[in-house]
Amino acid sequence: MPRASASAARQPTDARSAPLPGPAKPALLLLCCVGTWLSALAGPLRGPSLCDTKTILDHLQFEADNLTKHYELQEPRLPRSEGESHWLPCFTPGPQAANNISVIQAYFQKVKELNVELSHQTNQNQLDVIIKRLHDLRYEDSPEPSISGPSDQYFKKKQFIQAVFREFSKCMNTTYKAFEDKLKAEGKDCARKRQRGLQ
Amino acid sequence: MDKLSPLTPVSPRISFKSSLQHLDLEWTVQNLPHHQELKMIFLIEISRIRTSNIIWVGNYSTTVKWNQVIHWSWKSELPLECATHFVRIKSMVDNGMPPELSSWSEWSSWEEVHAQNPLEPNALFVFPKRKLVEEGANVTICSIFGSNLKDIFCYLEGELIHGEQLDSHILTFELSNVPFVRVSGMNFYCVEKPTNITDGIVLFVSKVLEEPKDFSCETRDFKTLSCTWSPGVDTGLGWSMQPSQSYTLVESVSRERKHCEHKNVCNWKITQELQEIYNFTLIAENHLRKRSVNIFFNLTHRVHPLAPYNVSLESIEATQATLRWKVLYHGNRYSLLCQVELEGEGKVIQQSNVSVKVSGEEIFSELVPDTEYQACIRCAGAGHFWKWSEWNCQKFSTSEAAPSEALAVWSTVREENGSCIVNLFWKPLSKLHAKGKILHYNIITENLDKPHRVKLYSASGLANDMKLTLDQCAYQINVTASNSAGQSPASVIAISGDSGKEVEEERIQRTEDGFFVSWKPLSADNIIGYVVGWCVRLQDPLCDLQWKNIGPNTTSTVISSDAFRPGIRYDFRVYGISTGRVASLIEKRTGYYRELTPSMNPRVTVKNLTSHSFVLSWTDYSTNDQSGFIQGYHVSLKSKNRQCQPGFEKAVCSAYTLVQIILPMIFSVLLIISVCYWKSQWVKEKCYPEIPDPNKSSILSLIKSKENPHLTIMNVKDCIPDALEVINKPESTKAQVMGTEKPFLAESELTAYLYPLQKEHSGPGPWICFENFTYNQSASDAGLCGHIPVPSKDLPWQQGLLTQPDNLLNVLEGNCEQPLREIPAGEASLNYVSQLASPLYGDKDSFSNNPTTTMPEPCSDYKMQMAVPACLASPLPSKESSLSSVVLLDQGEHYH
Repeated sequence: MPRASASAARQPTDARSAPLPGPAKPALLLLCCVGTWLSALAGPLRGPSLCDTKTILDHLQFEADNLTKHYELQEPRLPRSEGESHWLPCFTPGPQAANNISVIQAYFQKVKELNVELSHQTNQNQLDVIIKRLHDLRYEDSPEPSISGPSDQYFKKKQFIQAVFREFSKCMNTTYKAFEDKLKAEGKDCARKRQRGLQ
Repeated sequence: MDKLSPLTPVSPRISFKSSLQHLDLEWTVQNLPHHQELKMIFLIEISRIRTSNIIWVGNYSTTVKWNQVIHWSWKSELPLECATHFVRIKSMVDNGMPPELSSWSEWSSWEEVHAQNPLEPNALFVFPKRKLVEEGANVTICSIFGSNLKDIFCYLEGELIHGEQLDSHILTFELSNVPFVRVSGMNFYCVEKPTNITDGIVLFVSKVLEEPKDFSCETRDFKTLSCTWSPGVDTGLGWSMQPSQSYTLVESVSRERKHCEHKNVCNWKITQELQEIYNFTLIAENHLRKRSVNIFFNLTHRVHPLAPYNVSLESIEATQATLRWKVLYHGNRYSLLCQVELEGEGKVIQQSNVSVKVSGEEIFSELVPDTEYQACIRCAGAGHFWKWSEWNCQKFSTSEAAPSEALAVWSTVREENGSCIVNLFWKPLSKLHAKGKILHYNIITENLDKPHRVKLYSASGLANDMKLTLDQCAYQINVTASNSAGQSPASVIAISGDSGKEVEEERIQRTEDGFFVSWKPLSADNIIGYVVGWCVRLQDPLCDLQWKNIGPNTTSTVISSDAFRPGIRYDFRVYGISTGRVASLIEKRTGYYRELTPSMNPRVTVKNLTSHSFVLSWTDYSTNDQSGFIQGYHVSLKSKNRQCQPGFEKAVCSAYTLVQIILPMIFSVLLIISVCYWKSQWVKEKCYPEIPDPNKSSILSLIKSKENPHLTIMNVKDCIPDALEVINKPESTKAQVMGTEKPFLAESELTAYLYPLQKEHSGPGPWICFENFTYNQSASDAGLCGHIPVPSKDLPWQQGLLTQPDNLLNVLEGNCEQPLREIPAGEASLNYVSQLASPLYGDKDSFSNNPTTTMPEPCSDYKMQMAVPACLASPLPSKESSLSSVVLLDQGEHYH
């Protein structure tokens, strides 16, 4: 997309090099305006390719699953908090996912804070990696919402962390599967592409 | 209030601290006189849930001033949020009189404490929300729930636990001896079923703070005291509920304190006015507990000196060196004791202690020249030992000295083209005697006939031999070793042109200790000793010659060396050394450290090959080069296509003598076999004349034609005759037999006829056996076997047995037709006729050619017999009596 807009923008520049007869001028001007408008629309959009998205989702799925298992080992048999399944939004990769991804990132930032309070430094790096990967999935920067987090009660804090991990893991399983199906339907073979890239 | 009597507590105000579960009370006492203090006793009552449910009553004594607010605190076991509490107070002046004689004031009114707002119908709470206890403590947890909630289930670490119902909406749980589970606390929660309304708490359980162990302080420089200890377990908990324990150092003499930044070490600055005595208390502390340890010491008793510095070796000579060093100066009153060690070759060889204030010195003597040493030094307080400093070590090497020992020298001498070739060998000096690196060896030859003719040779310090070519063999040779410091004493040997007497070489066996070499002593007058030299056999004169010097009174020695190898032959020579240092050979020995099988076979050539002989030779096979003494040679002879059978055709021969014996023998045997074959007919007639075969007799055809069921062929193997008589018949009868109408059975027919008999020889049947009269009857009675004899058609001396065919038929049809047991004794008289069933003649051949008779007849190798009734037997012609024979048969006798 960015490439297409660039070529469109170059065209009027080339046209200016030679004087054009009467009716061509307004047409060129119109073309120039439309090109600029299109490039303005396409400009802010950025994001990973489908195969890169698949790789990121693959990693996220594995890491989310790992986090959940690890936390359940650390705090075994903790009950689910009320309505926890509605806290964390899920997303479908694409430009429209930016807001939801930023909400998830905010939740992970909150978990990081709670971990620091808890003196649990072990999975901080993992949390940072997840936040970074989520960022890579975003097509545009959107403001990160603030999360109120759990109350001051330690029990609720634990439940909060567990709920974020668990819901994120669920979300990644669903998202990854759906994305894979989508790739299959579109006939995209990322494995072959990766191999070609390696060669 | 108006009715309150004087000195009644008024306006009690209650507050609470949830985290500590404290109820804090404040009140005043009315009507106290101005500027007056009264000692008072307050009686306090606390109720829970309702005023009538008094759970605690207690006194509190204090001195009260006018208008003073009195504070008092009470700790509840039950979290205050779980129930409403009520408090009231009354007071009494403590005038020293017994309480019963004093009068109490009126009770204050009940003051009510609600730590928790009224519950919603669907609310569920668990308390305390923030609780920190030590491992092993007892904790009370409570759960309160609204009116809509009924079935509450509570879990500690996921395990369901049952509580006590305090009232319809309060559950309490007494947890005793709680364990430490994790730094993020234990989880306790309650759930209402089926709504799944949940609430929980985290119970933080800290490990018990331990007393610091191994608390100790020391100084290295009299400026800082370093105090160390083992902290024990970390009692820190998550979410800042409790940080790790802190440590504080308090010195009671100076009354200073210092918060320690590290958990196991703390540095304390020593004041300028050198404080000698220190009394330290180390306090470990967390939110729940304090622990402390104390030490008291004199500073000079806790000195751990720094390692000596400026350590150097000076005046290093061949046998002596001086060590100097410095220590940190701690004032005139304090000195150090330094330990000096000298190490050589990894061992401590000298050790000494030196008292030092600023610097020290130690002289090492009796050192070995040209040797590397290491001098090490460390120090400790001289007055009171606390700890050694670290070692400071320096390496050094002593200088060289002249070699102290004469070389061990030996030589071999041989004459060549009128010159004397001397191979001179010497052993390198040991490190102890070399006293430095040997740079070269000096060899001085002195002609004994012309003493002024002296020649000097020099060999490199790495050499240990030299070849000298002298114009004659009467020389004295001096050998010395030189290093940078000087020369060794000279070694002197003399050689003479006299080759000495011839000595015969003898073999020796190695014993467990080595080669035992002995010799006959020479006249002791002019012998100063013996030398036993040895070398690998047949190597060049510059072989790795070894020798051993033996005293003059010794006549044997054991030569052992790690260099001896199995399969290698060593030559030993014993020399007597005269006073003129001339060596004379007196013994020669040779032997193997261990003999091995020869590693290679001789290369054999074949010569003089004829049809019956040839000569093998292996001239280039050196017996001296082998890995054992060669004792002989094994020669095997085999045909080209056969494997040589071990131990079969092998012959043991001495060298160069063999096959001439075997080849003629083979030839002779072949010759004898050929002659025997050529004369076989004659031998056969002489040794085993042919016997007619009864199976081929023409009588068989007659029997067949008559189809007499009683007739059978005698099976010889079942008979045990005593004697056989062979009767020949004149040849005139042959024509009669040949002329009978019944022809003889053809071979095939005969075979077909005989085959069932062979198969059925063990079965029941009308067998007939003939032996003698008595035996005949008994045999037939017993049902034993028998054959009707079948005479051979080719044997005229046998054909003579038979009468005319008619007669024969008569016999068969008449008397002979009956079974023999029915034959009267007079008629049954028989003559035994020997029939030698030779495989060369008769129908036996046809048996072997016929595949249907591959099973050999067990008795076929025995002499077969033909039994003929007396009525058929003709009188024996006296002329043919020589053909008749009596043959004794034996069951075990074989005839080949």
